[in-house]
Amino acid sequence: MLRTLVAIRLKGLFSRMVRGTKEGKKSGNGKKILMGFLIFYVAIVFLGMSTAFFNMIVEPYVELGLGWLYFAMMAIFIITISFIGSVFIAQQELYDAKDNDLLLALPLKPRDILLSRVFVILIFNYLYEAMIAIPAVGVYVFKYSMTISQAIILLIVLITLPLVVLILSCLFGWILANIMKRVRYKNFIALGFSVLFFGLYMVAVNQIGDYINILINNGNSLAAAIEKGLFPIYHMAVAISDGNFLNLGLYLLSVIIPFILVIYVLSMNFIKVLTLEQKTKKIEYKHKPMKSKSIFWSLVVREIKHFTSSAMVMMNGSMGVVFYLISAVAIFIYMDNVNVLLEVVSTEIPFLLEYIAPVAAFAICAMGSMNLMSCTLISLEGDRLWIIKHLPIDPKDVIMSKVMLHLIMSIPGSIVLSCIVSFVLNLSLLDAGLVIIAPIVFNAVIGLFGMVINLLYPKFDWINETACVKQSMSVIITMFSSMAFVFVLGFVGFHAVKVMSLNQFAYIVVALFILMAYGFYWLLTTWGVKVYNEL
Amino acid sequence: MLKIQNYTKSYGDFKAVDNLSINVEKGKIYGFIGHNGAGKTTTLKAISGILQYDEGEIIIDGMDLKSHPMECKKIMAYIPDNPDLYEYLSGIQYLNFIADVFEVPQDVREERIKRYGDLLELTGDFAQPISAYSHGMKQKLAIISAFIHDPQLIIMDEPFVGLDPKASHILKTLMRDFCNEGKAIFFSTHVLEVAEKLCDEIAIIKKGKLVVCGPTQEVIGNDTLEDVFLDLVDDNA
Repeated sequence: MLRTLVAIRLKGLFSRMVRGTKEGKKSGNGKKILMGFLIFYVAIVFLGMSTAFFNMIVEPYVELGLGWLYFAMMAIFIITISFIGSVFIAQQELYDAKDNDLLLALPLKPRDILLSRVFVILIFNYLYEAMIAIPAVGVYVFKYSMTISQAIILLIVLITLPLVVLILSCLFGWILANIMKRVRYKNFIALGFSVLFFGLYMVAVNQIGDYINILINNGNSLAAAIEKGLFPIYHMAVAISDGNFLNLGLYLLSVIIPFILVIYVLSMNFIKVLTLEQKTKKIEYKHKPMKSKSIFWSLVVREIKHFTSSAMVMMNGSMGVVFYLISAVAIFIYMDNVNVLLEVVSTEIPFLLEYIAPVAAFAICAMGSMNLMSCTLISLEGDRLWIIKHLPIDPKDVIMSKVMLHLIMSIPGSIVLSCIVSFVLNLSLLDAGLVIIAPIVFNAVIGLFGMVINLLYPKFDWINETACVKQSMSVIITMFSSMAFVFVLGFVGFHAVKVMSLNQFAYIVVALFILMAYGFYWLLTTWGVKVYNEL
Repeated sequence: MLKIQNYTKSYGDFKAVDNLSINVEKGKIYGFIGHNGAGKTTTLKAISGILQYDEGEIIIDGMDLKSHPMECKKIMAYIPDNPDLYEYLSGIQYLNFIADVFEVPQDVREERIKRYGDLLELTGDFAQPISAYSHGMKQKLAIISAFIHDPQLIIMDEPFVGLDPKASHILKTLMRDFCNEGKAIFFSTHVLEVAEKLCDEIAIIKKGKLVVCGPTQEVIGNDTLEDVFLDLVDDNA
């Protein structure tokens, strides 16, 4: 039975990736090529970063006689990245899956249901592991080679290491599921966790250079800490480094026994957590005078309520807004350092201070390219699309209310950041106008463009909203197109300074944005209406 | 009130509904009966403006649905078979949204929401998020939202599914009172006893084609609707 359950989950997983936008229709070659390109892009970025990192630490460690520490670092990175990547998947796959009720009603062992879910998480963990392990092993073998016993041990380690992540993510997912079932404001808690993880990730990425120095300079004390504190990692690392099967045995015992224990405990509590009644306090209805709104603003309010009802949707759709606000606070707090930094950098790039306004406007626009709200809003209607379709609402109002949500969510943040940047950099009124207006118009372009793409590639067959905002074709196309657009603008701007000032170029770009926004608006109100009617 | 003429809807080569013609007059409750997959929901969705159709005409109160969709929708209401409503809104927010769309004046919407809410015993739950509603409560909310703008025609797809006996009885009374005011209801159901007692006219559809239609008594004669239906849809008959 376990095998059947695993097969069903795998089928579900892959069909979600290859299914077309319309029911029963297989995806076309275009989608497959695009998916392939995306996977290739992400793989190249991750593999490149990992290769650079391990290339920097391998020689110092081996020369210090701490070759095992290299493999310990590899394992720690695999565990960290896999955990961050899979913890929310664990919670959703294990405890929030839509078919839990169905499966619990069937004569199946809870352990089998649990293990079939765990298997899916394991696949994700192997993918994350590959991003780190391939470059780490590649770099080591390229520089020092490996014996057959080392290679065998390494293979066993790579097969079993994701079990460590599974133990952690299953336990954390279990804690999350318990918290979510017991609290009322689960969205805010989920958003809090998401922002926390994202913050940790950003801090780690920003300080990676410092960490590398610490890792290289403090090899001996780090080795001592791992030896004392991380028993399985130490024995695993020594096993690979020395080709020692005794250490391998100790590592395997320290991984497999806890894994069996965790699965046993979870399977014992699986039904209890799934069937735990959600804590809901009945809200008494008290009659209040109702406020009437125009159709358009009623639609906008509905969009805002929908968008803010899910922490995952908010987090994925408004990364640009998060960046706006973090940057605004950081620039305001460190305004003295910003000016000092600019003076230092301007010694290398002499025209930086002269063209600081277009550069700042460009940077804020680049952040705006990460606002991916409008490109999900048609898809998010899901099986509730019938409501707006059967009501006497002008399709233009439906479409533009979604674009309006994008603008309402993204523009205030960009204005706050633009104003703080203008103030800190002491810009002239004209330059401040450029820094404020360019990102506003850019957000309008992205909002309108995202809606065009979502009308082209709607996805209504999602199982939960997270899948809709993370795995849909329209999000992928909008994200890469807007990033590519920003890149092209930067590239052209860099070369345009030869024939005109960067400020002049920026004004032309703003004019281009306005033209594009108008073009997309026209497209949405003509072609877009037709497409919407046929949805 | 509702005139369907030679309506055809295809999915690729498959004809879900084939050349259907039905006439629902003002003041009439019209039942639409058929086996699962016969094309009932497809027809009801097309009338409601949710689905585009290939051939034929749908005329609502003298207006062609294709050329006057907004005007037609303004005098219509639709209750689906599965009331998937906006789970992120509370019951009252949903009703207010529907009232906004139909531009129902503030005092009128308040009076109607209270009247139908009290009648279906849902008023006390209006502040709850729809995600906390049971299937029956969602169905009641969909019913209230259908009456909120005082439509001339209501399209209902299996309206009694999920309702408790009391709510079913209230809905039947509401339907009759509604049509007594000169308005019309076109609804699908599998509950043949209800159709037999409630409907002024019925149509039976089989594999997308109309098998029989007309006043209920004429269609069933001295038999029960169940006997007639089973005879008509029996593949071997």
